[in-house]
Amino acid sequence: MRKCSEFSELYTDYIDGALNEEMRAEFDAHLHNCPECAKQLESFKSVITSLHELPVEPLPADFHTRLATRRYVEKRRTALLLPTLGVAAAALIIGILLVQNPLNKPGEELAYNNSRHIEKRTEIAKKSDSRAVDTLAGAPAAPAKSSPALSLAKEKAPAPVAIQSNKVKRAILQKPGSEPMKIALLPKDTPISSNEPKIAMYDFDKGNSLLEKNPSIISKSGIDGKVALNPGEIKSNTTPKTEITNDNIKMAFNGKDATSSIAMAPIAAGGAGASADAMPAITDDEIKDKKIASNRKFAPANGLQIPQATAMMSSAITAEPALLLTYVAENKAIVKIKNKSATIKVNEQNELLIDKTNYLLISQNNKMNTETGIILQKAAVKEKVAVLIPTELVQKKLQNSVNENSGLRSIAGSLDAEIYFSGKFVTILPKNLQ
Amino acid sequence: MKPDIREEELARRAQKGDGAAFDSLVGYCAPRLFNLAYRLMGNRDDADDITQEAFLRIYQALPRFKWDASFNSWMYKITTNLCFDEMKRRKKRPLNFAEITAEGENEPEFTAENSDPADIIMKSTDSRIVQQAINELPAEARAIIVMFDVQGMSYLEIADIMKLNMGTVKSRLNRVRHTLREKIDKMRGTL
Repeated sequence: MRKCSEFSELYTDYIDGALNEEMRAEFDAHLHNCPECAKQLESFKSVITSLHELPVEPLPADFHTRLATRRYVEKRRTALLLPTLGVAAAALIIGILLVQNPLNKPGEELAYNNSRHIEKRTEIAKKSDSRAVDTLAGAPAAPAKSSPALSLAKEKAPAPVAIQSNKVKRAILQKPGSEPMKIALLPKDTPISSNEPKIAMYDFDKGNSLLEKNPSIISKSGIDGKVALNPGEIKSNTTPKTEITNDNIKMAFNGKDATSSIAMAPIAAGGAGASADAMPAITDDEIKDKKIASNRKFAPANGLQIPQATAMMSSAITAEPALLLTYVAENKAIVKIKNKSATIKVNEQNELLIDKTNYLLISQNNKMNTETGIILQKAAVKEKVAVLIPTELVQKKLQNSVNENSGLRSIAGSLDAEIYFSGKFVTILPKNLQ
Repeated sequence: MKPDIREEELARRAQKGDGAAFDSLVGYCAPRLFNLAYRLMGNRDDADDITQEAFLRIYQALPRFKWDASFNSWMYKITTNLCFDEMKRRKKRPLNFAEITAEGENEPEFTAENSDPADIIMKSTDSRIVQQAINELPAEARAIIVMFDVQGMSYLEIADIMKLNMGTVKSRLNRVRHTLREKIDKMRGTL
């Protein structure tokens, strides 16, 4: 004779109809004689019914939208593992430099014909915030005559990180010692003047907003209403928003038409919001084979704007850009002047303190002269850090110019920083920090 | 549970890179996976996070899926494992009854079709009690009963997902049902 507890182990089989005839008959007989077990079985069944009747919990309303966004980010992250961004970014820079080369002084070109060295490093914290960045650094060749150039790249801690964005944050198109290059994208019917815009900074991340926020740059460069820094949309007083193609846009470099030698392409897997599928990046082969399509269209896919694009030159890439790409800061900065570099800490007050040791690592001269000062000043403004240089490292002549209240600012012309003496240090303080 | 032909067809297309098919697959399967995650975790926020993560993993791993197992089981396995990982990580049970009452089940809706408010409220209350009882079960027990009695999965599928043999699944299910019955009876008795 089985006990109640033994029957209770068979409840599920009994309900499922999984008991053989003999067992089932025995079970039924027990239920008939044991009201407690019969009651328990009813309760057991009612629990199962309750489970079956649990309502289906509805999905959150924005579930699909959020998932689509995360998938898009994942897709871009995966795409970034491919080297296309490096290629596209390198081509941008190199192309620009090549276009400019004919305008350089004879002999100067040689300085840039060294082997190409473009290094890409991308680091984005998982679940990234706005401080996570991509880093591109073009190590300069060793130009013989040119003045020093500087790049300032602040770094995150070297932890393993997931790549989540392919955006170039900022690029300065500049040769050592020269002014930033002039690049313009103009509506087809706009005449190009020799005073064509001089774009010191092309902020891929913010697009036009950088210039919109800095009217002084716009007015000084004279690009207001003419230049589309953000392909997919031409901002102009006279030209309505339109899609950019090589049919309706022309490109200028240093005041000369460069349309025939420059093609445009989206960066890597396409900008945010653009369809990566619809906008294939320029490939390495295309660059090598000089087959960059000059008629690549930039019609926004699905009505979306293409927020980023890069200009490329459709000719051989042989030059080494002495270019500086700079990136968003954390707590360290890599300071490069020519081929010298040093990693310098940025303190909590967002100050880059250059001491004698690290100054000598980056400087070509024992004392900071005007050229170095200008470079540091540019870096300070660009990176929004104060740069502190020990007074003893500053040339007397430069100290005097600062004392005369003309300072580096007047030397640099368009840069937006003030110079202060504070006893031991000369401080370059960007206005955007004040 | 028989293989779902539509689901498999969508999955096969998505595997070949058809983005629209993947979207359809999400539309088709997300409610089930979300419900599973909700019943296992006991609250919507966790269920949301887990279901999102599950679909991302499915998206990433789908190109390598070899079809030597049921696609449905594979999705459930991913989701269930995510739930287990999260529970392990927290080392705590899901929200308690008060929290469930506050934010868990949707408030009962009164419509023309369901016009008896008393009945609706009773059912809603009953649902909350059942969910609370589920929440009090150990993770594995919770998974077995939710998969079988809520999601309607087969012993075989559950055995595959839980890495147990079918007999074990059956016997554990019986035990969990008993435990759940006792808990629910107790809760109903205290109301």
